[in-house]
Amino acid sequence: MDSAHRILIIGGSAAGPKAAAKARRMDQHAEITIVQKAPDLSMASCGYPYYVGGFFDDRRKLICTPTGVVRDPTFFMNAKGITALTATEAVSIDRGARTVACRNLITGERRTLAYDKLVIATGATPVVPPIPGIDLDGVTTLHSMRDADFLRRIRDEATVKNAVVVGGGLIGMETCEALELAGLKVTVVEMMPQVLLFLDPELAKLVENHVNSRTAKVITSNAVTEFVGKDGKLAGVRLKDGTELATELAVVAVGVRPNVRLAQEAGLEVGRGIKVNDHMQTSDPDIYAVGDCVVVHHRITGESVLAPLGDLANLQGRVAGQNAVLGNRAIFPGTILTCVCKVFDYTAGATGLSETAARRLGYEEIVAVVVAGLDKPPFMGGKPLITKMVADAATGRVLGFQCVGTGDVSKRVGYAAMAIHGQLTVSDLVNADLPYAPPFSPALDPLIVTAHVLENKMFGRMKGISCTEVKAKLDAGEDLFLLDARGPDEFQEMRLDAGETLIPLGALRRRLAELPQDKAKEIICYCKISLRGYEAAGLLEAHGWTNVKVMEGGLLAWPFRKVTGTR
Amino acid sequence: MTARKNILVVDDDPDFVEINKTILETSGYQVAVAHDGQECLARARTDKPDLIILDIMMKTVGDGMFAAQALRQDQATKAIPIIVVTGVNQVPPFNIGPDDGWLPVDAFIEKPAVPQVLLEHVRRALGQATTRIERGTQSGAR
Repeated sequence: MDSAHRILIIGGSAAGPKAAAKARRMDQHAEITIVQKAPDLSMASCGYPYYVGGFFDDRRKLICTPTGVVRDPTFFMNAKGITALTATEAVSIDRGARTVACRNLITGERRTLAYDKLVIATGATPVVPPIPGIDLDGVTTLHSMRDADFLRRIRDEATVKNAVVVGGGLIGMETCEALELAGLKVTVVEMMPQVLLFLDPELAKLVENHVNSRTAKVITSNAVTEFVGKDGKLAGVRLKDGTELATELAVVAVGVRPNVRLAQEAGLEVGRGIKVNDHMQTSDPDIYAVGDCVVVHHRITGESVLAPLGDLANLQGRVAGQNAVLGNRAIFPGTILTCVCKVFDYTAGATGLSETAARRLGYEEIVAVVVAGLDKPPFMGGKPLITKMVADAATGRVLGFQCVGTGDVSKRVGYAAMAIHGQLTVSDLVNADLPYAPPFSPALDPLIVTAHVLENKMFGRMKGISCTEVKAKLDAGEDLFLLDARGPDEFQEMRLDAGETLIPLGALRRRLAELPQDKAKEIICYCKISLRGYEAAGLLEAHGWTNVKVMEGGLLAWPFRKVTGTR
Repeated sequence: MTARKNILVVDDDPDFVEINKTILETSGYQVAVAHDGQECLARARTDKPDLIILDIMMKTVGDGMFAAQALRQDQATKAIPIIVVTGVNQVPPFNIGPDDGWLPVDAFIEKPAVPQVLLEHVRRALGQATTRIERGTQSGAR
């Protein structure tokens, strides 16, 4: 190993400090320096919405270790022997001389730091679209500690009443929750027809419905075309369709762009982000790059994708930290874009490919299913989960999994992520041995049940039809026979009210005469989650009906209008 | 070479238009000009150009961005490749790149555009033979 190896790290938020800490653990003698533009280090930036929303009040917790020590330069020096230069900007990289020119943003002092190995962790910057009025007071992003402080102050002062969140992605939805909990009336404006694009539309719609059941509102397929000001301050936003919303606060959350300028000017290979190999090494063998500034290999599609996620930043930092010391030993094999977010009482998560993404990428031969169920037995207070699994039709290999609902979504997405990592198939999951006891899950975990239903579908035991397709048929005035197989009480409580016939599953055997006498007529069976719907379909098929389908996920997964209350 | 390809150059800066018109015409392209987003949409519908080179900051700061969105939503123009050539990101606080929603374009070049680089992007967008695009420019595929 080189003696007094100099490892220089540009960026001190997530990936940078992780690389530094790992490098230190691998080499106690290396000279390790972090150059950080922001005043703080190792900020838990994914925690900002929860600070704004009042889940905790002590700002220092965002920059503390679990034992309560603030991660400042003194901490880095004492605990890790790492020099951390905050409020210091890396201005340029001289690859020939292996130096980085830096400038202290407070004193203006310039200095040049030499390296043997350089790690670039310059992160990403929020996309700020050139919308007229975007520089008004009251228009902000939620990206930096300063942004978090600004929004938290709005919560604490309680004078601002309305907020518009531009963008219904992960950050947008988390910000929506934070601001509603901060006491504001929030409107989310999303340009695409749905929020949370990692979900398929029918699951995203359920999240949207949940938000709309609060005081917050979601507007899709519309966009902010102007921020309207009064005396330099934001007073409202104008939307593409002409609507005007009065608001004193707007948070722009339409995505981030990798900070690639330094790398680009140094002549490193850059695409949409800095290009790296699976050692996190750039086109210069002495330079690694990690975190939000890089493009990442997608483990299913093989494409290069942007994946600005905090967990990946830390994983990549760990890999680069090892490789900067040991040479290219450690590997980061890429991402399957696993993510999860909390939106009020709902959680939404996904891993791998959605059906939409798979089809867009040209996967033609895929199978998918939506299933609804509870995350625990009813007697343990089980809460609804709606899951969707996507698999390759030929091999059964699981390509993706999504889950939304008020139950424990994260655990199921986690299981599915490991299944995809392990390249497991639907039939592997059918008999998965997962932990079971009533406080934690039903005897058959929702992930397993989803695999069962998908297997039924793949084997042709069940002909599924999605809620979206049923809705389209109804809207088109198609002649369908909708069979609701629930009990009368459930029916009174909530129903489609789309001309359906209620025959409880228990009565179906003796009431077959009430069904269409044309055995080829399209019959769609469902219940609350479509388990009874599935059983009803089996019964009808056994009695000669030939065009029987099960509405996947039943009424729980139905994202459109439902009627509640006594008929 | 088959029929000459038509390129619509959209920019409110007459110098930029003049320079790039010359560069493109010398390279064998036919060039039409528009000066703001609205004119761009009108000409795109009537002229059906093979390619649009689009500025962002024109009548309003986001004029070109909204024009790109409108082009993509109109059946008549949605397939026309768009190359954005802009200095928008040099103006704080703007920070934007090719993006399915906000800036649905095929390529993104920061001003000033080096002629060689612009021509490479043009050839690539038109599906013509290209050599490797020089490094040091920002570009992104949709």
